[in-house]
Amino acid sequence: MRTTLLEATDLRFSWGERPVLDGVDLAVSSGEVVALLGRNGAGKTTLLRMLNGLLSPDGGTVLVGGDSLETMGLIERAKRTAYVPQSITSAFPMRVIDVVLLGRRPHVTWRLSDRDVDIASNTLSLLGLSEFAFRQFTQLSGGERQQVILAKALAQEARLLLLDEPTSDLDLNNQIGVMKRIRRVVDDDENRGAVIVMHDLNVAASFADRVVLLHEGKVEAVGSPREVLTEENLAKVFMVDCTVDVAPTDGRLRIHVHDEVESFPPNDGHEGD
Amino acid sequence: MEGVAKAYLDGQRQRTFFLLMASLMTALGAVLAMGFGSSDDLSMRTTLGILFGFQSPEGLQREILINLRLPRVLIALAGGAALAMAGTMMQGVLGNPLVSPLTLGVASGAGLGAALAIVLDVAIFGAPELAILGNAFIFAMLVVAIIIKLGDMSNVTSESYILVGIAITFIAGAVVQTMQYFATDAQISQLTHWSFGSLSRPDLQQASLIGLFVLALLPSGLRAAWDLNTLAVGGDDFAASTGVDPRSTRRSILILSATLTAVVIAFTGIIGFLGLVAPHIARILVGNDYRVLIPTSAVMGAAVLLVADTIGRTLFAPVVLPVGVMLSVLGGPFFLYLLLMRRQSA
Repeated sequence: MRTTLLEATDLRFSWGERPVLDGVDLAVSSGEVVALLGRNGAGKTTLLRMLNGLLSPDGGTVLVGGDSLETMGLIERAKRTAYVPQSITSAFPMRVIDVVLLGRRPHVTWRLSDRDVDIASNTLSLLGLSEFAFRQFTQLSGGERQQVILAKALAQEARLLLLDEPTSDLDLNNQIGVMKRIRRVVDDDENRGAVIVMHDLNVAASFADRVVLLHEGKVEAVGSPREVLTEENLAKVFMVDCTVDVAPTDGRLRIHVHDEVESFPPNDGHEGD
Repeated sequence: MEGVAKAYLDGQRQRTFFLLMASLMTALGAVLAMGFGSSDDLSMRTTLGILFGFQSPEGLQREILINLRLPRVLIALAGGAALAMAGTMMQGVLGNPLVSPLTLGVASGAGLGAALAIVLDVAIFGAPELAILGNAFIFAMLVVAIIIKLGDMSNVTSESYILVGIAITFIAGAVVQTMQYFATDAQISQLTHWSFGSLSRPDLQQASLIGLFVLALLPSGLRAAWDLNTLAVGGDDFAASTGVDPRSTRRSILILSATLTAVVIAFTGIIGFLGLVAPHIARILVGNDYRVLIPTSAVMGAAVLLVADTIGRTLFAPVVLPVGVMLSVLGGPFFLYLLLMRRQSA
C-alpha cells in the first residue's frame, strides 16, 4: 500500500534579499521517483537540502513520514531521509567500504554488527562496486565517487532518498545504469521513494513517475512526464525551442532540443511600451 | 557471508592485532627505557632485575627509579598519547592534515603564562616552583575558554577556529617578545629553556595525575570516532545528513583536544612536532578510519615521545637534550622520508 513519505507545504526561502523559493509544495509517496527539474539557480538544490533539514525554510513545513523535520533529531532525520550531494571533497583518503559503512551511523552508536557490514557489502554489490571496496575513495573518478556516496545513502536504509544530480559526472552508460538501479531500489522496496534533481530531460522522462518543474522559485508544473514536459513548458522554463514526441518503438517520451529562444512568450516587438 | 564483508572483518581483526602488538611493544619499550640513564649504579641489567623482582633496590637506586625515571617514562607515555590523540582529532574535525595541537594557540597561551611568571613574577598560583606551571596551565585554559566561546557563536567554521588560533599565537608571541625585550639574561634563558619542552619537570605525583587524566579522556575520544569519520570524509553537510551534528561535534572535539594539550604542555613546555607527526605515522600504518586511528595514534605518540626522550638523555649523557629538540631532529627527517615514500608509491 502506498503511503505519503514526504509532504512539504508552502516552502519559502531567500538568500539575503534574493528570494529562492516562494511557496513551493511537494508531496512524495512510497514507490515513487520524482524528478526535480529547472534551470540553474531555480532553487532545486535549496529545496532538496530543505527536505533533509540541512536548511531551515523561512516559512512553510516539511513532514517526513508524517512528522515535522523541525522537531526531529538529526539521527531520526538520517534514518528517514538519505541525501546524496552533488559532490563531496574529502580531506583524508578512506576506503570505499568504510565510506559506505558510514551509512550505518544512524543505526549504531559504537560497534558495527556483522549485519551492518553485510548491508554495506550488499549495497556495493547492488551498485556493481564490489571491486572498489578496498580502494581509496579519494583515488576514484568523480563518477565512481558519486556512486559510492549513493551506496552510502542506500546503506542508510532511509525510506526517502534525496539525490542531487546523481548522474552529473557519469558517462552515458553509467547514467542509465545508475538510474536503473535507483529505479529498481524504489520498485523492489515499496516503502521507499526518491526525489532526484536532474538536468537531462530525457533521463527524467524515462525514469521518473512524476516531474516537478521549478521556475523562479515556484512550481511551474507538476505531474507525469507527459503532462509536464511539453514544448510550451520547456520553452518557458528552459528558454529552448524543442519538439516532444513519443518513440514508436517503446512509447517513451523524447525531447529534441533545437535552439535557445531569446524570450518567452516570443517577443512581438511591443514589450516595454 | 559475502566476500567483501569477510575481507572487511578479517582486515579489522588484523588492525586490532596490530594495535595490540604496537601497545605491547610500547609497554616493553617503557620498561627498557627505565634501564637507560647515566647512573653507574643502575645499569639495564640491574634495573630489569629490580623491576621484575629479582633484586631489591638500594636507597639511591630506588630514588632514581621511582622519582626520576618512572615519572619521565610515565609522562612520555601519557603526554605522547595525549598530544597525538589531540592532533589526530583536530585534523579530522577541521578537515585539515596540517593542523596540530598547537594550531589553536593553546601552547602559545601556555608560553605567555610561563613568560608572565618568569619575567614579571606575576603568578596566579602561590608556591614559586608551581608558579610557572600553574600560570602556563591557566593561560592555556584561557585559550580553551576562547575556543569554547567561539564554538557558541553562529556561523563558526573550521577556518574560523584555525584563524583565531593563528591570531592568538601572534598576539601571545608579541607579548612574550615584548617581555623578553625588557627581561634580564637569566630570565630569557629560563624562558627559552621552558619553551624547549622537556619531560624532566613533572614529579611522580604530577606524572601519575596526567596519566590518569589522559586515560579518563581517551574513551570520549574513541566515542567520537564515528562522528569524526563522517566529518573527515565529507564535511558538514555530509555529516549532518548522516545523523551527526557537525557544529557540536567540532566544538566538543576541539575542547577535548585543547584541554589534553593544555594539561600536558603546562607540565612539559612546548612539544610541537609530535602532535603532527604521530597522527600521520598512524594514518600511514592503519589508514584514516578514526575507530582504529585514534588508539593507534595514541600508541604511536607514546612510543615516539618515549624513544625521542630516551635517545635525548642517553646520546650525550650526562647532558640531557630537551625532547622537543630531539623530536624535531629525529622526527623531521623521518617524517619527510615517510611522506616522500608515500608519494612515490602512490
